[in-house]
Amino acid sequence: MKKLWHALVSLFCRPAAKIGLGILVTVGFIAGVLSWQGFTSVMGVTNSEEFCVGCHTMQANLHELKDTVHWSNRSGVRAKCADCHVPHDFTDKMARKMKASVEVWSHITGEISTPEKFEENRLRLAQNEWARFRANGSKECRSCHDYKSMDFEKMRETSREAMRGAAQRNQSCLDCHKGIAHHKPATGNSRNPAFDGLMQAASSVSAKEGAVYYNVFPRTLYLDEALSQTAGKLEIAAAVKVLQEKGDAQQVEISAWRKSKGFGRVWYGHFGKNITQATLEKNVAQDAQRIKVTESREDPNTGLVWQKTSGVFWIKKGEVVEKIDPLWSVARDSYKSSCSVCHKQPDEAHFDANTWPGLFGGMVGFTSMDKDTQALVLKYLQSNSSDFKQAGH
Amino acid sequence: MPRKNPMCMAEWKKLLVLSFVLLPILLVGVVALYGFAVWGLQLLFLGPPGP
Repeated sequence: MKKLWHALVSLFCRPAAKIGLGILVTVGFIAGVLSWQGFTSVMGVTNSEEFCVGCHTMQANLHELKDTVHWSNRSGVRAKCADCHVPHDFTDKMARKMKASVEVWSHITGEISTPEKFEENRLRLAQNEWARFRANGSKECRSCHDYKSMDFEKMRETSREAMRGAAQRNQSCLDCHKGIAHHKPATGNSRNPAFDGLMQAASSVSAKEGAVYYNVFPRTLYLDEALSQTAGKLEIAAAVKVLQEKGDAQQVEISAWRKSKGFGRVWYGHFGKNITQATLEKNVAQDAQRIKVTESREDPNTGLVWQKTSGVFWIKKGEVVEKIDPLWSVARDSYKSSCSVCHKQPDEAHFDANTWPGLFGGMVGFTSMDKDTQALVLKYLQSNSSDFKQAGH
Repeated sequence: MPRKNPMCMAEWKKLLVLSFVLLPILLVGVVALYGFAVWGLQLLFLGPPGP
């Protein structure tokens, strides 16, 4: 160790006795030029598309890009992997390059070594990228797309106002434009953590017989107290009347409306309003012994006859809460945060219960709500729509 | 005559090793260290880089 140190000291500090200063500097200069050139070349190579898709894992990602406007378009400007995914400033770029050691590591260890394994991790990886873009205001996008250079008049009418607002707020592109270059991760199977709180609350509820409770999560309905024969599905936020409890099971009565046309499998909470409460199996829905019809009425808007129905089913104990408010509060938070990212969300009572599903269905694809949250938010919007807020208008 | 000088040969060797091997390695090493340091700081204190 000491020997090495001495060798280094003499290498750097002992003056050259035989070689001229000019030659030393010249050789050093040439070596410097070559090293720097080599360094930037390596930076360039590791930023190239060929390098990025060099491992088998990334090839599917390139394939996804090929279907988008960032791959080919009428003006021939295109984005390569590094244009979006590697910061352009020196410091951040170096940090990112070193961070890529994690990617190399997970490739070597096999944690993410195939397109299939990538797919399993897509949501997490996308969230990393989304967080990065959120923090830097989508800086990489904006090295090409600059608000200052946008001609809003040339935009489609539908885009114009949204883009003007975004420019005023200096908004990060990815706030709205997620999933434009690669497939958006499927969020359908992930879970909104807010449901955990609701389910915990539900598990400690001791139900009183004869009182009305609200379902906190989509549940299976059963025909028997042993919970062995499936009757259908109880929707989120559906109201049930608890009749009795036996062991782990609860007997509940559901009162709802159904359309007389078809098999009457779908039950709705209110007359003439498409707010689903439960979906029954075909044979159960047709079972006149089990399902009581107490009233028939024609909906003047559609000419369809609706029937007031009720049925008694079993559910697992500990799945309902006394008040609907905590559910609505989860829904309201989700509605506000998800929708206001891109536009001012309309008032709940701005539309009626039968208009909301179409509007909501058209927009929800832009959000990252999982499917249960989607169902809950739609239920919330419908249940607080203009149909139920007449007094306010 | 100076070409045969062993001291001269040793100096040329040192010069070439220093400028074409040692210092380029040092360059890569220093930049890598810098990158890791910034990354570490981002993880611990700075958070992801801003706009």
